[in-house]
Amino acid sequence: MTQKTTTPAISDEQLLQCMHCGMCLPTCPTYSLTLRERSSPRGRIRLIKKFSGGELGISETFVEEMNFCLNCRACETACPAGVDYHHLLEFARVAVRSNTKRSVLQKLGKALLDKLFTRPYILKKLARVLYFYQKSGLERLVLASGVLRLMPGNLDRTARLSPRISPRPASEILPEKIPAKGEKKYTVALLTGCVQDVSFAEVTRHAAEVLAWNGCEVHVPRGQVCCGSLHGHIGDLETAGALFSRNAAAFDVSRFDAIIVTAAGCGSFMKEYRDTFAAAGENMRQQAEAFSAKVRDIHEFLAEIPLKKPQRHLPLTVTYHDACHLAHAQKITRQPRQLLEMIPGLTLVPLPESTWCCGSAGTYNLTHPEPAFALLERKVSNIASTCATVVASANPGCSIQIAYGLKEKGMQTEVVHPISLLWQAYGPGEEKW
Amino acid sequence: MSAIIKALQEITGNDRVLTSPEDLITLGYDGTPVLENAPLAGVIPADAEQVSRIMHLANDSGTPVVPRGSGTGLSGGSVPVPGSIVMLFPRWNRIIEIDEANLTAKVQAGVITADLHAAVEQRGLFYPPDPGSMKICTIGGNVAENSGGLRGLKYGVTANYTMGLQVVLPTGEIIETGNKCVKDVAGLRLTDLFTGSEGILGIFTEVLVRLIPRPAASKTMLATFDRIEDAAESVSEIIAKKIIPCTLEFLDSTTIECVEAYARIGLPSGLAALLLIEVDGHPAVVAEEAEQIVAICKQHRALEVTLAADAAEAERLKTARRAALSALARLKPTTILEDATVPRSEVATMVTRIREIARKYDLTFGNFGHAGDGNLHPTCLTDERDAEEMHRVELAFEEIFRAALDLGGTITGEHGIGLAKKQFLRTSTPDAKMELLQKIKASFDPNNILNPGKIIDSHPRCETLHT
Repeated sequence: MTQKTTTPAISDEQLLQCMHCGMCLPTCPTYSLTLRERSSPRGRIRLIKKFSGGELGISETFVEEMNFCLNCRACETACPAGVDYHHLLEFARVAVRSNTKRSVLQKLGKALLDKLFTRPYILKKLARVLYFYQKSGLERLVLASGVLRLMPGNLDRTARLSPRISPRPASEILPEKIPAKGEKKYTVALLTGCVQDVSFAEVTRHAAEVLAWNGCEVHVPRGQVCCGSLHGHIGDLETAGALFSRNAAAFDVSRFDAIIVTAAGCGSFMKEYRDTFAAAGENMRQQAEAFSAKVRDIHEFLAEIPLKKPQRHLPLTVTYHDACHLAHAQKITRQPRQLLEMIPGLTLVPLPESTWCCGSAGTYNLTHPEPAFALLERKVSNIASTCATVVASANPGCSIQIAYGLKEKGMQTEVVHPISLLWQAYGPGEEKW
Repeated sequence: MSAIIKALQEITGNDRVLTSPEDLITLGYDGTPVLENAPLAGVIPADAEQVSRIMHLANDSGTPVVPRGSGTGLSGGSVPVPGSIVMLFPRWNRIIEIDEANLTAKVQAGVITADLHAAVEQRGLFYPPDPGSMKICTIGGNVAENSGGLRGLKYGVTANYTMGLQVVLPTGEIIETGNKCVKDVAGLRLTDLFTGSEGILGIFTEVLVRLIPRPAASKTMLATFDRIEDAAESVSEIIAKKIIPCTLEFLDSTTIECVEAYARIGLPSGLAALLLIEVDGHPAVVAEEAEQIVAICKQHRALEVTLAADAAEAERLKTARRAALSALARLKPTTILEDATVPRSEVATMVTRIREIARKYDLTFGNFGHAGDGNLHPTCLTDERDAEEMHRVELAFEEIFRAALDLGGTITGEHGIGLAKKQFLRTSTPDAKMELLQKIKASFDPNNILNPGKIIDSHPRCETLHT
């Protein structure tokens, strides 16, 4: 089942593409924290170039810098020369992974990541336990007791960061096929995802309904799994490849006009299957090509089709946070705002530094709490400056991180997916399938 | 650990001395192609006092010091010389004072140029110099390079706004030059000597800049042409009609395509040339001049002249233009940019000469630049791994410089000599002038310790000039 994936190669051309002009520096969150050249995209590219040319080994500092990067890709948006930065970084991370010994804790983390996300039933079982833990009041007791602060590491913060679990995963609520309401114009498939599935089930449900109301027959293929981005971004292409193969089997891509994704991180990784697995076997390469060609972020897709006008008034002041993997990786910034502006009564106020990373960055807030929370603080104070009562965010990682930051600051501001707001404005009735 | 490193640590504290290979590699370059050299160490002084002590140490031990702002220079001014200490100013970013009564601002040398713009514009004031890298370059670096930018034509360059400096001399003394007075003729104008000295005469720790009132209105236009000559004639005609736009930028077809690939501003393909023009000032004057410019471009067969709808669109166009150099890097592995400059009446002739030279040496060039002030940026798109082609590139640039000088111009308008153009300065400068430059350097820096080997070789050379 698993197909062999090969380390992504980088060419001299890709490295020489960087003409070290420095335009990326002011957009880099890690450079803003250290003001040290080696923590900038330009600096990292030079280090990768030296490593690739054999002039620099994998030192502790090299590893540190490659992992310090959030991979937010703001530098790619800023780069006039079109340097494919994340590709270079991921190359370095793969090299780092295969050349360094991992600590017991790291091995444990990897085992957990592998088990949880490659076996959806375990994730769902765990989610069920977590749900009751959160629901029963036990969680409140544990957090209030302060017992977690006695534990090593950042267990207390990690616990506070853990997402709210939905009563039931989206993949169980949603039927395999949801008919279009009215005339059927498109046939689409919906990704339920992993974390998204168990803790943002309602977002997926809202997406399915908004799509159906706008003429889409929505398929929710069974057997689909995590997209593999969590693994891919830390350089574990083997597991990412295995997950892709299972998704390729679950989604019969030729049947669909689009594969719709509601999470920015997943969408961006799935659009890049074709590059990530370009060096894999012919079969896998072709599959990846066909798959990526169909992937659409939900905002992107909705902005391309004629939409029904939402009728319900939502008198809210909303600000929009650009998830890095929408704004920088997929270059989608206009569409979510357009959809929000369609909503009657809603006032969209601009968020200063809206495209600046919130520090979540996959598992970054767990592995690098200090910079992650420095960036979160910056994000939260920008949000506070807008006086908005709702922050619209289209990525589960960002939403969890920002909600945590707002709560810690004692702010009442809610974090909501743009599609959930749109769904409310359509005047939802509970659909019965 | 070497004695120098230890001594540096004693001055600044251990965490302000950088010695890891990763730090040294990433301090080894600036924005200049090909040049690279890892230093002995990096040091981050906390104040002018520490800078002074480091300079004393440098003189005592014979260790060269190279000052570095954000490392965006384009002539190798901050590329380390072998065995040198790179001096860094990352947290020197305080705007000390904005004096609205005297129209001045006093800043630490590490203040980012765009941050100064934002701070003074909030108060209805204006600091015009706007180099392409303004979002990251520092005021200290701007003074060292006497940086220009898009607004040079009407407002001049950094030197026109530098009123005073706090400088640590190569020998370690801390001095102040200039003041807030508009008029001051006490002694030689040292501020002017330091401005554009490319880090060889002193290290700037504070800068006093002149501000002007912020223009009340502005209009930005984009004119497209299918003949390069039509664009050049439009430029001449605008100047001849006594209109001084604040920005008058020229882009050729190669540059247009690269910029469009990056910025997606919706330019049609197949254009031969484009002019980006901005007029600013009193609203009535702005409206009248904009109208005249549109008419002039149309008379000279512009395909289309469009006005930016609002400030945001105008900013988008200017940002796209600022990215022109880096955007050209999309086409070839190596991008070598020059800034041969001619009197503005000769821009059209110069553009034609550059195109002829490119053809003669069979090279790809992107041409863009500040057409209004004669500062062109012929950019060669090449591959540093191809030795044969690199040789042709050298020959072509020599001819381009020669052409600029023949037209009464200069080999560099705003990027500086640094390392990249040292040899051309030597071959194009009379002996007496060269010797004067060397004497000035020697009188400031007798031990040749501060950024040695930049602009000039400090020990007079015996070989005949004009090889």
